[in-house]
Amino acid sequence: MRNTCVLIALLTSMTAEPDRLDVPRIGFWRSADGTIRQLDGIRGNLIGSRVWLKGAVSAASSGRRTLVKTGDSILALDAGGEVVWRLEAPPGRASFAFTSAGEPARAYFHETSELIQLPDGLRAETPPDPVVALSESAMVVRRGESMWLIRDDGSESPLTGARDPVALLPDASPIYFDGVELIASGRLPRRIRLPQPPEWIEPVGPGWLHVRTSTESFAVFLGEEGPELFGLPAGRR
Amino acid sequence: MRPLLTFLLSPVAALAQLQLFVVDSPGSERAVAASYDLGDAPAGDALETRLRIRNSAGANASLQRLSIAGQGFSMLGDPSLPFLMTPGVNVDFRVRFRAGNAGSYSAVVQYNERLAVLRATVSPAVTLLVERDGLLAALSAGAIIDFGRVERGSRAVRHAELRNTNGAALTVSSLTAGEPFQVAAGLDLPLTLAAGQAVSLEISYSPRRAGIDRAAMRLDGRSFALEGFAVEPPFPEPRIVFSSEAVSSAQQVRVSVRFDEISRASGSGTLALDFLPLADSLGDDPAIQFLASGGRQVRAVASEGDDSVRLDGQPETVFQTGTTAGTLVFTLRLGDHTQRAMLRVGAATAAIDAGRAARHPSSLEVRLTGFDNTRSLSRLSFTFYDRSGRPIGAGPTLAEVAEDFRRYYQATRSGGLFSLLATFPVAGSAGEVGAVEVEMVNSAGASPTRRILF
Repeated sequence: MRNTCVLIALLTSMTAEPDRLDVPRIGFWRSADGTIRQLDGIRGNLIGSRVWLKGAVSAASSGRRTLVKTGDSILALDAGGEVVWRLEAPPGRASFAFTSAGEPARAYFHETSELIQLPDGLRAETPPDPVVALSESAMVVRRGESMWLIRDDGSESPLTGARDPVALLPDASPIYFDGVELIASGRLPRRIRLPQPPEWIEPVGPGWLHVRTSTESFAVFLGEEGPELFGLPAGRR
Repeated sequence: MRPLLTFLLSPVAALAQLQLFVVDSPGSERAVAASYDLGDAPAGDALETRLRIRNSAGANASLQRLSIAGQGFSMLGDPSLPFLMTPGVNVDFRVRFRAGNAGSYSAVVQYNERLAVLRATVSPAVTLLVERDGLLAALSAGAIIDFGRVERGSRAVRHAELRNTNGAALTVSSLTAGEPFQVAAGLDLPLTLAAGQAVSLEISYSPRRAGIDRAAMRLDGRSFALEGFAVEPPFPEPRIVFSSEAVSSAQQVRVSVRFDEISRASGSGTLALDFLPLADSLGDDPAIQFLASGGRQVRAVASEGDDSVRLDGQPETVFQTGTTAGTLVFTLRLGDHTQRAMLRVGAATAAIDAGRAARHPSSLEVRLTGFDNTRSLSRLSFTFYDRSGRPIGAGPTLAEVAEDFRRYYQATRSGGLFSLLATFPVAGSAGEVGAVEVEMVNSAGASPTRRILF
């Protein structure tokens, strides 16, 4: 009986280490006015009004790290919201990618079409087509009217029906809008209807996306049973 | 007539102490020598003139007598007699004339021993009669036709009549009213009324906005004042409607406000959300809020023609039920209405929203996020299974956590939310562990077990 070889004991005092019992932290999200807000909670019970930064033009959070693009910089925040490093950057929007462990991997600047490695800022080979979204090992590019998923191993596949905006999860699964629904592509594509077309999609924490429409912000939870849509507190901002 | 006048005025020369004046306007007066013509009035209308008596002598005088005698003439505001008048002092009074039949009229004003003749002429005119309290009453030019309080968007009507009380036919050429009043709809003008003939008509008031309305109604050369006070109509009975009446913790629920009928009113109010925890010790829960505003109140606006109220500009708005047991109280204030609706979030067993399990060389980690809406979690139970699904050990591993959670909830302000990391030292191969089942116990009982795979 192999299981008799495994002896398990419970740490009797979970409060011996202060981080063992805490408020569930999801990550950070960027509201329409460029404010970076902390997002705590669980499905159906989101708390997201605490403001950390202003003047953001793009943001992405893995929960462990949050990358914020301001007018001239990239800021990296830790899980507590403290700035841990800063990097000069060209103006305009940026897309970010994280490693599977939630660490910054790379960034793409849309105005200058530059791709850099993170956190060192070294320039990487820039693809010939405009990048729409990227992950650690793949990116989505626009070729004419269509979107293509290009993996670092050289494989390419079209994202049929995909429109801007598109996001890539750390495992390179694309999330996109097809004109009617938000589609979480994977082994089994999952769909969820949005009240309005999205204007941008940004990751806000493990399994969570911020979907911004013209008037409202939503949090999409990517669970095993498919995406779920929730309103974000003060999401009309 | 002249010989009579000479006779009447002859005593005046002997007593020149008091003088009679007509006051045309403030600061303007003219002496009345022997007679004064008040002017011409349509039949039934009034002429009113202000007269003044002054003591022009150097000694005190006493006004002992003041009277007017003549059909259709009357005196208003005259002083109590006797009235002592020091030198230079005035006393004013008004003379009103009104007669129903055309012709020339005169009257004698006597002040002490002095006399003056007043004259007036009545021209034939149609009489306007307006209904009030069920009776038709003749109105003079300048009279006010008051509609009182009328709801905006509605129509108030006063029944009226044009009547020819003269002995000959009369023609009405023009009858108009300024907005938002209307008159003579359907009346074919010019209209000739035979002697004694009358025609019915309606004067109506249709205010389009709240406030005081004033306008003139003109009947040929005569003018009547129209007045009304428009008030906002009341909102229909509003109802607070939820997408679900059976709610529990950690839900986002839609709420709307509907009217029983189409609203005739426009205006704004508020929909407020208050929270009454099941026990005072539970305190507030910041996640209980309207998502649109991020607070506990949204603006409620309804316009004329709406069948529902717009909440923060939308047909419905979303709120969170939070993670604390208690009662959500919604209060709608709109116009004269104050409506309340309540949703009860009952005490429930603790819930796990997400669970993750990780193996390390010498330990196992189980991270749970969830909530306890009673904030009374006391025991956790972990049952580990090997990769083939067989339980490991003699039974579940128990953790008494009441004190840990009590301190945690005292220190945080996030409702019943929690994120728990439990670490289990392992002797042997942690890789043999395949899953863990978790059960939580609070004051509402034991939660359903949740199996988490490593």
